[in-house]
Amino acid sequence: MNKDPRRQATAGFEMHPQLSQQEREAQNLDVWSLLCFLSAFMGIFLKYRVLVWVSLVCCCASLANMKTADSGLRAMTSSVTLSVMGLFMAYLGSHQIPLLLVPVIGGKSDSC
Amino acid sequence: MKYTTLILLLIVIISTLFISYSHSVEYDEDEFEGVEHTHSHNHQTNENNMADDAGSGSGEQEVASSSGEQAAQDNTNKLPKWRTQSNWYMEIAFVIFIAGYVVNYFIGKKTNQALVSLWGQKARSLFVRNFSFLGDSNQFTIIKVDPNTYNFTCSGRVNCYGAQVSINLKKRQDLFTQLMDLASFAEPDRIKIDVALTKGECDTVIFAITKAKALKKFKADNNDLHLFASKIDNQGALSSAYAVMGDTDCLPSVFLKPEFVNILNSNERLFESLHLTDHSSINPTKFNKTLSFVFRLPKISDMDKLMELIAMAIDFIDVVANCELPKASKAKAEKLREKERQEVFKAQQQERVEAAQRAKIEKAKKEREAISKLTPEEQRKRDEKDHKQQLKKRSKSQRVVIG
Repeated sequence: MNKDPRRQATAGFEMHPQLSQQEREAQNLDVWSLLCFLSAFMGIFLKYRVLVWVSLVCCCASLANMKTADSGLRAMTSSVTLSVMGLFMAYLGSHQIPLLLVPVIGGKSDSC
Repeated sequence: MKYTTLILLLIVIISTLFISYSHSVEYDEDEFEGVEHTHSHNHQTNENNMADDAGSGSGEQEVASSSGEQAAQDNTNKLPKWRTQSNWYMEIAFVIFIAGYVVNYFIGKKTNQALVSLWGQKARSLFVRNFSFLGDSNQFTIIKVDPNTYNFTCSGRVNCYGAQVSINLKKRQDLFTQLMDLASFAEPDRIKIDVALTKGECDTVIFAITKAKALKKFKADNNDLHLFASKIDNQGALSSAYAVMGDTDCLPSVFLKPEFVNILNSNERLFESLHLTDHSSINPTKFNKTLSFVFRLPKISDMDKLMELIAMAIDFIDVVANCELPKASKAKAEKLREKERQEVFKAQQQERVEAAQRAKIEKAKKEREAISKLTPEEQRKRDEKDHKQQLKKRSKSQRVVIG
């Protein structure tokens, strides 16, 4: 046991097998990014501002949990752009966006 | 590639224009038939007012004021939403949350980095003593996979090809995980050491130690344990908090040296599992035989206890390489593997037969479809051809050679 256990190193030792690009993408499915896209689209189309803000939060979570190898400009910009665009459209558009979607049941108001 | 980008850009521009346009139109009158709207309601109220005013004959001044209100309402609708909004509570809440998230990200990331660098400082001498090549450039480099996962590889040691250390920390950079941690739902900090062993005397062995509470899950996660191993009740001086599994009963006496038992008993809180197998799922094509350890990362003050466990893990490589199994155990282990090989072969053969049957059925189906598409004349010709072929076959098989 007192002998030196070190030996000449085997070149390029890799414990785990090299994954293909597709396998890596399937393994690193970013749920936050998916949620960001979904809520941003829902927020924009349903004119629901809370969802736009939720998409911004999901975007932050997606960026925070991003793998170092995937942190490219392309991956970052897509979700950020969509949620920021949603915010701009929600606040700078010249139209009324309801704060909360209130279900409208047919029938005239009594006040008329 | 260039065209795809252009098409994508066009789609984005068109969809943006469409969205902008859809926002500029308040709503479709036909779509919301029978539904009151503030704008139309205002119109109606104004009209009613006007009618009432005309009926009462109160004068032109009020009519003028109501049309003024109408104009003001129209102007309000044309203004951006942020200029007409009365309260900003939701926005303030979200901005505070996002600011908190960003601050937590930097603090959490720094804490994780500090933990890893402290582990590195403590473990460096141990790895330098045991491996000739550390990290990817022989400089003890710990590679960051994401803010909470770090990897470190080392090679150049007797009895093994190399080892990989994976440090999986809590997602301290993620505020949601931090909140879950407050409710004790988050995963603890873990360190996993995978060693690729060289072939030796103990080539057919499956041995595992885990916490007794986590035995069921551990068995379910590892297929080799499920196939070959069973729980060994005779675990010597090892604490009852642990559960030992193996393919033969003699393994605890072979592997569990008194010094290892002492270390395991004194570090129950930090030890999670040991798994020695010749059916490894990490990289089965390259390294069949692997040894894996999982430990919990302790507080900074208890880091020396973890070093004790890591030193034990490295020493265990030599114990496995130099072990000698009794002949009966070896034969039993071989028998188990032979049985499994036969089962796999049977399953593969069954699959092949099923695939051939499926192909045959598919071919017959396609032929039937092709025949049904033929014209009557073509079908007649085809039948004649088949009949001739059958006659030819029959005549060949029934031919009798005389003389």
